[in-house]
Amino acid sequence: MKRASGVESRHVSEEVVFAESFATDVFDESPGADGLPDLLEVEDLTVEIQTDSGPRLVVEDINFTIGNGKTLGLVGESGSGKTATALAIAGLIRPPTGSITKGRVLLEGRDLVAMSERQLASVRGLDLAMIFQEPRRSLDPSFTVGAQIAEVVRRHRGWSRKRSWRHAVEMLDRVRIPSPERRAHAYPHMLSGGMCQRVMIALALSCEPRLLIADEPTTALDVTIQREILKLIRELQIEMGLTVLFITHDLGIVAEMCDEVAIMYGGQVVERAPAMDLFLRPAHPYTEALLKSIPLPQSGSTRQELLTIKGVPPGLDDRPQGCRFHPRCAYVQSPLCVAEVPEMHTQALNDCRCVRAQDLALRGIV
Amino acid sequence: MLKLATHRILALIPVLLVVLFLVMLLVDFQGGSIAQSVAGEFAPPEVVEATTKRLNLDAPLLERFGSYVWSALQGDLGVSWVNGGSVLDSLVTALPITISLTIVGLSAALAIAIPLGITAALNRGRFLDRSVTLISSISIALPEFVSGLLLVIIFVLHFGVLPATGYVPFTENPIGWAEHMLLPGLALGIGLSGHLARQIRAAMTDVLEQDFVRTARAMGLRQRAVLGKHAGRNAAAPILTVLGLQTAHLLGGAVIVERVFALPGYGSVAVEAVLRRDIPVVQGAVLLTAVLVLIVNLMVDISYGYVNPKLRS
Amino acid sequence: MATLIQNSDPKEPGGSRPASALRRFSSNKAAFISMVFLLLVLSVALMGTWLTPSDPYGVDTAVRLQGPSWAHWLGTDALGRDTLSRLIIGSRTSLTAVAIAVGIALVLGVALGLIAGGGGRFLDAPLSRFMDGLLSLPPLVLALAVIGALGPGLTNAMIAVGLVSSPRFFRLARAASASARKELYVEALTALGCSRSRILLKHVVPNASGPLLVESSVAAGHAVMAEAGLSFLGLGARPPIPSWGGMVQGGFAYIYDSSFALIPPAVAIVVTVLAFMYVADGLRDVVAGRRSQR
Repeated sequence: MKRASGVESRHVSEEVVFAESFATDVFDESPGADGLPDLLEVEDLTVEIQTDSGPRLVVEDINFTIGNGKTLGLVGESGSGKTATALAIAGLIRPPTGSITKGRVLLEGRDLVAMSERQLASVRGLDLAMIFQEPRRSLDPSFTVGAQIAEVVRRHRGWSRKRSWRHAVEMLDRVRIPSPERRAHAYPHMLSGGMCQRVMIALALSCEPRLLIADEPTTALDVTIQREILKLIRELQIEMGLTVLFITHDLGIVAEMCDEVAIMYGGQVVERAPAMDLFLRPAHPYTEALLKSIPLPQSGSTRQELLTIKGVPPGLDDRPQGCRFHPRCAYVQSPLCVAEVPEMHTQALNDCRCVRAQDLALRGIV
Repeated sequence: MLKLATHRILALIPVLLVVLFLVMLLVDFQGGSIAQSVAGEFAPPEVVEATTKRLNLDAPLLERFGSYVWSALQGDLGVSWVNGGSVLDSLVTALPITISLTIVGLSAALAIAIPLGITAALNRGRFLDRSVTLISSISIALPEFVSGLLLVIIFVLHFGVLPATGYVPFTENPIGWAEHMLLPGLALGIGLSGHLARQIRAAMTDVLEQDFVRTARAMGLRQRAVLGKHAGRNAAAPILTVLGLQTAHLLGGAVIVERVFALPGYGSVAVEAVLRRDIPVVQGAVLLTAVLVLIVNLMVDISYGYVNPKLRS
Repeated sequence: MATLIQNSDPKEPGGSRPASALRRFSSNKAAFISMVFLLLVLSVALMGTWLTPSDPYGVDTAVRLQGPSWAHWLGTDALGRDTLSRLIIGSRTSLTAVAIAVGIALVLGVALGLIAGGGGRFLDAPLSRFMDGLLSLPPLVLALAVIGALGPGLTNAMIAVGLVSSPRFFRLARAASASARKELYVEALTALGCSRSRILLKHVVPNASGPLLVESSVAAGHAVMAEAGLSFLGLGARPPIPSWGGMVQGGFAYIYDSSFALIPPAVAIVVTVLAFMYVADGLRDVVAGRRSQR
């Protein structure tokens, strides 16, 4: 799985600083080695949303950072809170839907949580951008794709209509859409899912943001298209020096795209590590179980059993006492695991929330 | 587009024919008393008989119906039984007033309903939303004449700012026209605004939950652009539907409002005709109404095409 | 309106069907209060002259257009008649109006709807088209046409309103019979030799009774508004019969002398219409609830 990829990023400040962070393969041994401040720092993020039965904490005490130009994968099953985390970071969870009750989100040092809606509206699209899961539905059916991109550009850059339109066509070209001048006049319903996702990417990157949050951008697409989109994102990341927060439930995508990984379960981050360390030497039982459930081709003619994790993830209302994973954990020991919620602590190169981490020798992908 | 237009016309024609036929049929039942009313309450039998002959009321029903339809197709709607003037003329003179009134009423309704509906959608489940719901329920239950009378009491009697009756053509004096149109327009629009506010609230709530609105927000577009441009364009379709349906009611309400404010629109003409049993005028009014409804529906259809790109081509 | 068939299993959880329906209805406070109010209006109408403090027809020009007083709680009208008494008798007019209009609309609409949906394929298309066209025209104008032919008067006016309100019932009944045709029990009954009309009357109609009840309440609200409007125009109830709309008209004619006279009847109209609307909403919830229990 060796791949030579260089990520070059430029900070525009008084002195032009060139920072190079090379990953000889996707697994970078030392995150943050470039010496620059992390682009995104999420500290103790806690988000509450309003449900029919009252307010509920959907995610609690989320902590992670993403280095400049790196890609962090946020992994979890449905209901783990990964999408809520992403939306909260982008400032899209606001009353009456919900609110951020605790924590900070520092984008290049600026706390997004403390900002007003007006300030956030200037950040979104310009410094931070987000792409979503269902590209067809995420585009306005009443406007041409060119118009939608041009609108965002005009809003943030203040350019003329003509110049914005030209830029929109350029962006469509950059995302490898054929005949971009013609396609810019198309409406979303005329385009395929894969095309629409390219348009979304063009839209998101039209003002050259620093951070791209990708919420399962390929889940709703055909497998063949998935690869193309992932490739596109990777290439654009290198071209534009993007930092990416990639949300997914697919460990294969993580292996392909991410420098670091944060695993979420039941609204908390349960493990955080560089990708290689996570795959080879997981520290949390949930991670181990996830890795075990990936079907791998095996030599020999023996039939493989598809391993699943017994039980279901907890909903908002029935989160277990103590460690949230303990009812499904193969290594559970009560009362140790039930007493209180485990804190994150560092175990070798991984951070994890398991009180038994030192004792366990978990197996990863060999 | 042309196909849709012909489709609509074809749908409306049978209804029109049946209604006109029904009217003539009912007139047949009442033949004697109609002739009596037209001739005069105390007219002697010979005069009544002469009137019957004059009005052709003793001819067979189908013959009367056939000749009416035939003349109508040629643009001749007959003459009034009361004053002998051309029905078409009297209706056409009165038409602009009713149209002004309807347009003002529609604008008033939209001016009230749009802010209310949007406010309710943005504040779902909270106090503002429930107040809007209450207000719209009440305004739906308010008959036009009640609204009209309340407005007269407040603005004419109490504050004395606006005139209570009469009409001034726009071309003569725009300010006068506005003064005379404001209260009637409001009276007409209040009832509609209740329906519209509900519809706008529902449509906006739906649209605001859509993914593309989230995208617009995620790209940092201002609230004004998100609501007005993106949400608005997409919420317009169901609202247009309601507008099309309710305009028919609006034309009906105009009839009453014209009586309250003594506006000589064709609604007033129709009511007068009903009171005096002047059947040709009544029939003419029905025909005219059908034509107006048709035009409104066509305009709604055209706006659909503009608002929803999937319907074009 | 996919299917309007109810579950006739008596062992429904939560007690018998009427009891649970009643409970659900009463949980909707607005609907409950409105229903109580309407029953109140009904009793007032029935009691009529037993209840009136003064003679509703008693003209006394000495006390014209007075505001509220001990002798006349709601004041007097232009002819010195006691407003409260006229309001009470006027309720009779309104309820009669509702009865006639909704009655006609129900019978006509349901009959035609059952025919259209239940059988005659070649009757369905023209009838439906016709009803759609009818719905697109302003009801008031159509009512004017009918009254023009028949002559002014409460009964004629309400016949007109009833005719004009029938398309809604038509649609309901047509949908009910059209979907019922596809139901298994109809096939079974037909196989057993039941005639089509019997099936329609004894099975389809009762099963559609929920939505029909809701629509009746809505139509009742419209009928009150229509009667008031038409009486206001002088086309409905003829003097000296008191009618709320006519009372408003009377007050309006003398509005420069006294603006109070038209307030009590106006309030009565609005509150009654609102009551019918809220009851309709409450019934709608009950009907929807019943369906979701299957």
